This record gives sequence, structure tokens and C-alpha cells, in this order.
Amino acid sequence: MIYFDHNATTPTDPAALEAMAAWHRDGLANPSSVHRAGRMARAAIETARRDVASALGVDWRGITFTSGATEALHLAIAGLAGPGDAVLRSALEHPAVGGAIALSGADVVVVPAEPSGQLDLGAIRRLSTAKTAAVVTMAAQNELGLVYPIEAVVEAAAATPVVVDAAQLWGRLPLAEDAFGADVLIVSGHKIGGPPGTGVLWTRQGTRLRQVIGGGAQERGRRGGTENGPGIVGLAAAARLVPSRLAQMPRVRALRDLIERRLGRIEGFVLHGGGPRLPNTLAFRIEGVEGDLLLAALDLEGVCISSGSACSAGAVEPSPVLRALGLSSAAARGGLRVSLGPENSAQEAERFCTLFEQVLGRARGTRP
Amino acid sequence: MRVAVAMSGGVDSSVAAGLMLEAGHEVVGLTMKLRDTAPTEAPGASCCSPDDLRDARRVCDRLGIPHYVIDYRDAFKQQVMKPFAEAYLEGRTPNPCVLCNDHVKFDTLIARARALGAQKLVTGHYARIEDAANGPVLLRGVDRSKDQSYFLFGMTADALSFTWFPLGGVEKTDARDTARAQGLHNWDKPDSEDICFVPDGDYARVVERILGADRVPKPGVIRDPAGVALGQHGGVHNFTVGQRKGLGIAATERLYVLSVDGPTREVIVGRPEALLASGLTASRCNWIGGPPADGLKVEAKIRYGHAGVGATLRVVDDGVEVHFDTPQRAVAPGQAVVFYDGERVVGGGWIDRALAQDEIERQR
Repeated sequence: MIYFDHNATTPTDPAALEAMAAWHRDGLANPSSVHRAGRMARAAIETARRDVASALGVDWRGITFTSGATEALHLAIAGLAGPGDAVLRSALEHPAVGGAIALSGADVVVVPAEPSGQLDLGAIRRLSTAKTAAVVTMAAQNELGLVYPIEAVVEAAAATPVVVDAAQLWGRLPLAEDAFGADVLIVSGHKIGGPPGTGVLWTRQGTRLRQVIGGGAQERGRRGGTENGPGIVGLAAAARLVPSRLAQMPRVRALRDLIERRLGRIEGFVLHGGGPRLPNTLAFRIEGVEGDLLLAALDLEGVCISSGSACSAGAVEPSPVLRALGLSSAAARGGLRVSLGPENSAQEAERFCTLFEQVLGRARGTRP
Repeated sequence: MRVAVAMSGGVDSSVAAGLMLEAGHEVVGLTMKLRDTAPTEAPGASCCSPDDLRDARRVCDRLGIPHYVIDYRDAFKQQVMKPFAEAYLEGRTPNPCVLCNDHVKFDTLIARARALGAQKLVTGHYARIEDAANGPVLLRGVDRSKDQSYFLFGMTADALSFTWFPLGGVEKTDARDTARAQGLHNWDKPDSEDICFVPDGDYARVVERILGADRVPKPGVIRDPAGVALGQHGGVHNFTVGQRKGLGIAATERLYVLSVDGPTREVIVGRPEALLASGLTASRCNWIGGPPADGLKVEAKIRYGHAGVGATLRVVDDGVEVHFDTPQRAVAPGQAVVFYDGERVVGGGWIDRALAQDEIERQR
């Protein structure tokens, strides 16, 4: 199998797997328990907190472990904004952001995207009002792989708190120092070889979030409920390996460029998005060919990539992100995404291109 | 070989997929998303509900085969639902299932199967395809009570040679037993026999929704065969030839809809014996294995539930005239007429109008 869908999830790193297995094997218990097994668990989580903070280059006291980036976004958005407030978000945010704003009761203000997929920074200034409680932005866009100038967003937001979703950036490009100067930083475990169901909400000292989950005093009252101990130590193990992931990115970039050069020769190839990109992502379409068809045809040949459409309850809708770039519904249905990781090889990249040309030839030989 | 199975989430297509797997094929499950469904719609009442998609996925997971959902909502709307509703504007009684087979399943879906490298498209239809000297032929399903060959008369030779119907030779009850033996969770799911986008049988409301307020047929007059006005009606889409209920007029005898005229918005009602026709004309015919000889004796089915009647085919310019051996009740323009020679489907066409005895005699 050729796995080229790292922006969806990454294969779990053996080190993360081992850390999670050790948690269970060594009998670590509830971190809130006073006894020895509980203390071991507490110690493991606090070590994880410091290691994750160090990997992110932030103060460990601001780290809250969550069930993922989606939960972290909810805690941050509902923590900063409520009814009567407004939240600015870009047109290209992950659906979790829109969902969280809607549930918070705040009004959503959409910052339009340029046709290239870049953010309209001027709009952040123009659309900000006294009611604006937060600006939410991705550091790197999941479908397009575009990388955004977060320091400029933070500057444009002025005194308004900025929530940065860096789930796709972490482990692919270095995070800017001091969390871009942002107030809230969010990352996910399963995009860096950690376990799914783990994420991090980091808040700058002095950033006040209303409590969203009540009940327990875990995570300093930010998130009641027994901690996902094995997930947290798995996430920390993967976080420690981020430098080695980053060290492999030049090689990953070369593989991506190889694929882009070869597919770029195909008639009808259109690259999606313009500007700085993650080294591992290639977003494109083949004019007139449905992305889901090529996705399925490649899947049958043992290749995992992603299409531009989101599948919910079986309904296949064209990607809102591609539509936000101004693509027609038909063009957006052509969207495909190849996202690579450190464990991919040149051989896989070559094989992928050959298979892609084959299935495309077959798809074009028949009718679409 | 790689085969694509059209999976509705129902028991028949699920069994078909299981049988393909047992036969050693590389099986790919395809489910067509044909329309948006309200979440309140009862599962199993029709295909394409989220529950049906989940059932199809569950069966594929259970069988260990890949499963893909294909969005055909636009094609279904344009090629099936719209023509369905527009037929009512013309006073015809449409058959959307045939359109769906002709334009969606055995055309677009075949193209998709080919594009995925499949060498056959497999469905759970109760009909058989056999190879003959002049190409593939279509036969009735062995389970006569489930036989679906009527809906398949429009299949081209190319479609027939690309398609397998593994349930054509089995009884429905055996299919359920097989599903149960294969461990498929939907083995006892109720059959769906209604038109999928009219699950509650309220055709008129669906027609109104598809056409939109500005195109909904306007009220008109109900007359007797002599032209005497008997009352008003709320639009020709509420009527089909042979209908007795819902006429909304008081009469001492049982009255039936004899004909529906779209342009004049007139509905003619009369006594049941006036519903009898001696034949019909049909056009837009499809002949499986070549056009028929003039005068061919066949068995004609004038609607899905019709028992069939002996008939003679007269080839005319744009189709056929069908002369029944015995008069038949309620020949409805817009319905399909399908011709059989024993087990074999000779072909079929779309009914334009009923023929009276004197029209047939004049020709002789």
C-alpha cells in the first residue's frame, strides 16, 4: 500500500506506540489518585506536558491536553467569545472552526480568501470591531497545504486575541518562535505520528478562557474528566520526534516536487492554491475528471490519497475550501490531494505517478 | 476478474455481492447517491436514505470489499425526476424506474465501473442475461413473482454484455437465506417496491415539488365521453388512466378515468367497459437482438403488474402497433409496453395511445 494521505492522519510512530503500550503495561492509573499508581500517571503526564511545550517552544504552564484540535478549537472559541461577540475566521478554516463559533453563540465574520488561497490581511483590519472577541486562523491549510503569514495576522489583529490552528504545520515546517506571538496555539497528535484522539490547547499567560467543560479540576480546570494518559504520553513521544520529522522534510519536499513535475505534464493538470506551501502537500485537479473517480481507482490499486470533497453521511459535496477559491462546483469536484510523510520513498512516488497515469488513461478512455 | 456491484443497501444487491465474492471475483461495491432524503424518511421505505447507504457500507465491510458512494443527484434529477414530472404535464403516466435503468444504472454507472477497471457491472435484478448467436438476450427472472425484466427492456447490447444478474436464476426466499448464511445484517430488510422518490405513494405532491409552483398543472374540467362537464379537478397530475378513487365527483355509477389531456387539462371519465382497449401504439422502442418481423406474435405487458396478453406486433414508421388477442383494461400513455417471446424479452417501447377495435379493423 502507498499511503499519501498524511494531512488526514499520519501512521503512528513506533515510539508513540511504545509509550502508550508502556502506560498500560506498567499499570499507570488515574492521575488524580493519591496512590503510587496514580502518582506515576501524574508524573508521566507532567513530563509529557513539559516535553510537548518544549517541542512547541512555548511555556509548559499554558498546555491543556484535549481530545484533538477540534476540541481545542471549541475550548478556545467558546472560552473567548459568546453571544453578542463576533469571531473573525478565514473562508478556508476547517469546519470545526465554523462549528465552534456557531455553538459559542458569537457572530461569525468571514475573512475572504484571495483566489490563490492566501488570506486577505487587510480584511482582518477592516472587519474588526469593538465586538470582535477573537481572530481564528490556520497556520497551514489542510486541503491546499498553503502556509499563512501568521505573524502578520497577529499584527493585523492588534489587541484582539488570535487563535492559531497549527495542526497541519507542526512537524512539517518549524513553528515560529513564541507561538507566532499568538494568544492561543492549537495542534493535534495524529498529524505528527502521535495517536488520534489527542491534541493540545496552549494559551499565553494572561489569556483568560471561560470554562467550557465543568466537573473536575483536571488540566487546571480547563478540561474536566480523567486525562487520556496513554494518548498524552503517545503524543509526547511523537512530539519529541518532531525535530527528526522536520529534518526529513527536504527529502519529502523533493518527493512532492517529483510528483508535481510528473503529473504537471498531464494535459489538464491544474495546481490548486498559490504562494508558500507545506513541503508535503500537492493539491490539484485534472480538468474534466472527477476527483472521487480517481481516488477510488487509485484505492483499488492500493494507493491512498484524498479528494476535494467531504463525505458526510454518504453525501458527497464539493469542497467548500475549493469553492471559496472561486472554483465552480464541477471544478471543485475534480479536487485531489496528495500529502506525503517521512516514511514515503522515491520508489513509491514513481510508482504512484505511473499508477496515476494508468487510471487516468482508463478514466478518460471511458466516459467520465 | 474485477466486478463492480451496484449496492442499494437492500438484500438483493448485498447477496449479489456475496455471490460474486464466493465465485472468486475481485468485488467493488458502488452505491449511487441519487437524491437528498429527509432524515425522517423511514429506512427501507426506499433506497438512497442515509440508512441505506450505511447498510450498503456495512455489507461491504462485512464482506471485506471496498465501497464507494457516487453522487448522481444531478443526473437523477435531470434524467429521471424531471421527465417523470413533465410526463404528467402531458397527461401521461410515467415510469421512472425504466428511465433510471436506461440513463443512470446501465449507462452512467457502467461507464464508472469501466473507469474503475471493472469488467462487469453486477446488480441484484431478478432477470437473466444469456449469450445467443446474435448477441446477449434478456430473459425473465426465474422467480416470476419478482421478475424485473419489464424495467430492463431498454438495455442496449453493450450494456447487456457488460452486465451480470446473479439473482436471475434464484427465488427471492433463497436470496434471503443466502444473505443470512453470509452473515449479512440486512437479510430480512423489507423489499422496496415503490418508486424510490415517492416512498409514501403521494405522486401528486412529488410532481408539484419537482415542477415548482409556476409549472404545477392548473385546475381543469372533468367530462364524460360525450363532453358533458361533470365537475372540476385540481390538475391533471392527480390522474392516471384506470383510476377510480379521488375523482371528487358525485355519480350513481362507478366512474373511471378514461383519458387525461395535458394541454386542454381535460380529464374524461366513464364506465369501466370504456376502459377496454384492443391495442396500442408505442414508439421509442428498443429491440434486443434486432427489430421484430412484422406480424410477430408476442406476449405484451402494458405495466409492471400486468399479467400479459397475447398480441401481434405491426411495425410502423416510428414504432409499433400492438394488437391484443383480447381487449385490455387501462392502457396508460407514458407507461412502458414490453414484449416477450416465452422467457425472452423481445423489446419494448413507450405507450403513446390506446387503440380501439374499429381503428384496428379499419387497417385490415
